[in-house]
Amino acid sequence: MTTLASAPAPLKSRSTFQIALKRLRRHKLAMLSLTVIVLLVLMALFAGWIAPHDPNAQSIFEIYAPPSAKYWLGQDELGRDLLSRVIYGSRVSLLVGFSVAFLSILVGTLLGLLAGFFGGWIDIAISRFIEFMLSFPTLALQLVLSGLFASSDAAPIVALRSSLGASANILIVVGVFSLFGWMGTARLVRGEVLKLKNLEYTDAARALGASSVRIMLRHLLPNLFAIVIVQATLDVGTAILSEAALSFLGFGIQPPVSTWGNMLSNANEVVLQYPWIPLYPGLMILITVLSFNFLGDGLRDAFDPRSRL
Amino acid sequence: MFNYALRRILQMIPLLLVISLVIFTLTALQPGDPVDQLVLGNSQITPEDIARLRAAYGLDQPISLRYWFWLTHALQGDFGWSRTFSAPAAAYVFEERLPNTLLLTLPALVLSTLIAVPLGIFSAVRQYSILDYVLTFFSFVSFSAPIFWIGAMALWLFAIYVPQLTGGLISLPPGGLGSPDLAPDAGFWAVVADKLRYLILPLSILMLREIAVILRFLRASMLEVLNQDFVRTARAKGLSNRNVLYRHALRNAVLPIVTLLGLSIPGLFGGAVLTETVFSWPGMGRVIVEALTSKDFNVVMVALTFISVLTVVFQLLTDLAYAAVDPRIRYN
Amino acid sequence: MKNRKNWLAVSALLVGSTLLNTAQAGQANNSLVIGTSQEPPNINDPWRTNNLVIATEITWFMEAHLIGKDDNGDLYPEIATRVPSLANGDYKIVKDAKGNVIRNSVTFSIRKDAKWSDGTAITPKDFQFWLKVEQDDRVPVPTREPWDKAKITVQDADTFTITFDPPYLFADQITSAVGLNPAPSAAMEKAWSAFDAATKNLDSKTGAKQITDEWNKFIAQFTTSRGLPKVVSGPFKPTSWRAGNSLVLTRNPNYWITPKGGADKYLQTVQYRFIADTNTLKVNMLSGQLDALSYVGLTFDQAIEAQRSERGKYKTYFVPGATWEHVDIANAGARAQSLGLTDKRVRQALLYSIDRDALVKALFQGKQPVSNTWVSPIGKLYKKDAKDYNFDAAKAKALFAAAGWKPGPDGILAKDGKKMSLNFATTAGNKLRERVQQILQAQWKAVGVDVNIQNFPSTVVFSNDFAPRSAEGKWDLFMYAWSNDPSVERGDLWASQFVPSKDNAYAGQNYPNFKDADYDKLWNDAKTEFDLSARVKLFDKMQAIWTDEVPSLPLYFRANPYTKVPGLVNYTYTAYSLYPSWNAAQMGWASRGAAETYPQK
Repeated sequence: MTTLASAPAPLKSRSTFQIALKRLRRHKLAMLSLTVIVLLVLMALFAGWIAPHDPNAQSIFEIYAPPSAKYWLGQDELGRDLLSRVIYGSRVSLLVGFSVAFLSILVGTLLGLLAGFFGGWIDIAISRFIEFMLSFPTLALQLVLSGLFASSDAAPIVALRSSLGASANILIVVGVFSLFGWMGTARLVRGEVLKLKNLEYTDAARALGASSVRIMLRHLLPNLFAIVIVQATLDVGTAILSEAALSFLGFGIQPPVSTWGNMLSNANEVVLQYPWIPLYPGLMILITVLSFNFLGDGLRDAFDPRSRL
Repeated sequence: MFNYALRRILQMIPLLLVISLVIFTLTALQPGDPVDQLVLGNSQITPEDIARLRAAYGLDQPISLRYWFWLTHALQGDFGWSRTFSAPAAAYVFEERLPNTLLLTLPALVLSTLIAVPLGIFSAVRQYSILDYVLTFFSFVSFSAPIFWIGAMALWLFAIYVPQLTGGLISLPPGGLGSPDLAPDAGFWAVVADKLRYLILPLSILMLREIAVILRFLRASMLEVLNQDFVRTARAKGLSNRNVLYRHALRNAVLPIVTLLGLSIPGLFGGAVLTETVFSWPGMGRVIVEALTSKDFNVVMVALTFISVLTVVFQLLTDLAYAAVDPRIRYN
Repeated sequence: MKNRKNWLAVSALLVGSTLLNTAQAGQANNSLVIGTSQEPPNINDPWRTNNLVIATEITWFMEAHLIGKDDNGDLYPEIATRVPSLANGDYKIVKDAKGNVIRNSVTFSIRKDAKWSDGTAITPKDFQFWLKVEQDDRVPVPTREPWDKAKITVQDADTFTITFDPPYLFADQITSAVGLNPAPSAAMEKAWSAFDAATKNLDSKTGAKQITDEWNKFIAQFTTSRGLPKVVSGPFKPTSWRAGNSLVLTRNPNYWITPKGGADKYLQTVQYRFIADTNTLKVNMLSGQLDALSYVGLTFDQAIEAQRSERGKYKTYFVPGATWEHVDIANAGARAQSLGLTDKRVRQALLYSIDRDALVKALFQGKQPVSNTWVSPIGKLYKKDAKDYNFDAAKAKALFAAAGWKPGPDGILAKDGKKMSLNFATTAGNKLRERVQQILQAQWKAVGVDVNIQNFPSTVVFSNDFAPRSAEGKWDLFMYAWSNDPSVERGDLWASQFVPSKDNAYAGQNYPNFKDADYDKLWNDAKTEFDLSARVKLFDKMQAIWTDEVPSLPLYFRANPYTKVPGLVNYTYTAYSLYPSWNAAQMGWASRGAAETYPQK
């Protein structure tokens, strides 16, 4: 009986998923973006093999040296190899992007699902909480929180800092961004669940005695995949841009860890004398965020049965 | 409807209280206070001095009491004194900074809407045309680029490179609010022209992004409407394309845009911190960051609560407007 | 149709005019445009309750002083008729039977032509008023030293004497850096009585905040953008202040000292432009919007870059200063003990293992010389033959080994299984310090010291919770700077009395927790030694102890960079005169007839 009850949903989702994939493959820009993203991820994973130099090796008498045979993109404010730093910088930037997207989606989907599915006081509580979170001036609070966590005396945070060293900083940035990143997803998911809940197959499943958890996991969740994946790609881009903005305001990830954001905000100071230096991290951010946005757009079209491809 | 509005307004009160409490606590928890900055570099300072200064700035009290003090005074319209700007915090924020921010963000929103709406309609109607692709590409690039980077490059370009190329004939000022040496008896048009010179760069940078957002949004909702049955029916009935477009499609597609604009109004007052920083435009965004870094609690509180209040109020107004316009929505 | 054409023409004109460059700063109208990265909360506060450099710099344009200190460190009279000295009898020292100084006093006579900008005379009353307010418990001045026990006695209409009992070591050089600024008593009287009436009955403890609010209201009427100073004593007076943007000052016709050739040959207006982002500030300089930069302007590395783009349009100067950059070491506490930092050999080794000469050459083109002690080399107390720890990796390793620290399998020094892994803090966002920090990190890594960078915003590192708590293990290494007028150096930084602790509410500035009985004794003697040559000898011994103990790693003395366009004269300063505005009356353009009296050194 239960197999019968659960049959339509996965089947349906698998087929939409396959159709979507097919449609996505025809979306040239999205495919190009996906290729770029895959390349970027590979670059981040194999940074150690690709980078020609140690990204932290200094050569303090060759500060801001222009591109040369040894250093293809030139050297930075401590004579380090810019190419290697750009390559290693992708690690943190992508890590921040993916982690923030993942956490925001996780929290957003969960809360949206609960609110939409159960309704009643759960919905009211979650909806008010979403409004509450949306009422904060985000950037200002991100500054406050990253300052607070970075210097807090609370025992767990001190332990975190001493065990992770420089990486603790990345964790804090990820945490703070995720805290303010999930509301959009939650609202989307809630709306979608409200629609799906009234469709026949959910009713059928319920009539056949499927538990709430089962309906949520097996019937609703797969159907949310489309909107969630689109939202996730957009979130990655937003997080990468926010990290750069935070660095620019002086609250970002601290040296010697290199991120595109802090490379860009450091390089901005010498743009007149050495205009090529801010260009690399700036273009890397632009290309990466652009790729994620194009991919998201392509995915949205692919999942939308009405759009022509 | 009336009952719903009333209930929402009543719900707003505890919401705002909690928001202000959270902001206050987080700000107050940050290590470092104004007294530390006075102590710094003053080797003659004694423990008695420190205790005296802490009491003088009201920092010797626990956070809960300080919040209570702030709240009871704020409700009477007294938002305290700004130590970093030497003025009543509310008066400084609303009289010195808010007008600057509005001068920047309001025209940016209006102009962006005026430019983006026709382009968005065109993009949707002529989907997959060359111009649609160009506009799509432009939109994506402008919300994928770090705004401070674009701003800094524009600054170098128009304040340094172009003047060098044209021998100083064409140039834009590298940030600021206006010429300080403008003669006080300068005519109205001279003042406007001067203002415009200073506005042009930050305004363009802000608009770049806003146009992109509105354009994408309108295009999407137009496409949605155009694909709906009633539009197809109208077309099938032989109504002219123009008629269908403006009488049916646009009216329905504009609704989400109104929501978008309604929700972006609080943002107008919050300022644009990155643009303001790059172009040294003394607006709300900068004042918040400056007050945060110098621990000027009163300014932080008045600015952040103001923005929160606006956000909450406009959320409510948008919801109500929706209910009024869309007959399918009923509130009980 | 016609309307539309007109409208088009007007808008075309507007767009055109906005693109055309009309702004011109500078000599054409005998004005000066100065750029700064910081806007002061208020100006002309005679009591300096905000304690900010930029506020003092701007205030000096508008505030005259009894005596001042010029670029060479020589005192000159401004409001006073002459500089008090033992020789002319205006400075007096009173000793007891044992020869200990028990009190000292200085006498000033006010010039007959010294006037406020409203034309009324500056009188001893204005200084009495200053002292009365300074000593008032209700006023939130950071510290009342040395004024808490000072007394003013008026001799006649123009002459008064200040007596310090107990004596004040530097009573013969009371410049604005110490206090006693003229306060316009007539202009402030009414507002002061209002403050007095409003706070008279408030309890100093429970009503403290309310009192401060009243004080803020009082002082804001005379010092802020919303309440500009009403009367001033200096060569300029404020005319407008647009918050966040600019401040305009114009020449005060009632100022009494006339520069050579007449005041009309010198600056008539001065504008400050407030540009918080130093990068944007640089663009303003490069694009010719500014004539000069304030003391609070570009960072050092930006100035080095700005120097490369001069093209004859402006010139960049690096003024050797008395700001000492150093890395404090945690000298006490359980954590410092376990890391060997309490052992002087380890501290010496840490200093031997960094190549400061290479660092200052690479980053500063040698413009900021390596320092060997905390005393400024331009001061008279500096020990010229102080021990110089030149980079010597072999010596460093030997010293580490002698203290029991040997390289482990991973190359990091270890002792009894404990690795030498140090937490190194500085002010986050200060890009130059972050660069220095990373160079030091790399240099220490080369000798096996692992350094973990932990930076926080400056408000955090200098907070009560961080900087004074090395003994609690908050940091092992901490890089920052002390700024001190070299002529009033007393060596307080290293006295054990100023070790911060819970008992003194973390009030001291001896952040490394350096304690040395011999140093304390010498310091105590120097504090009451009124003879300069004897004090020099004491300081020589103090510095010898210090360089042997290495409580802190001396890096270099900062040079303060600024730029100005050619032809601007007497816009100069040194570590003595502090800010360019010391010589405001004589600033001007050579092309307009201003005579140069002080070239920038």
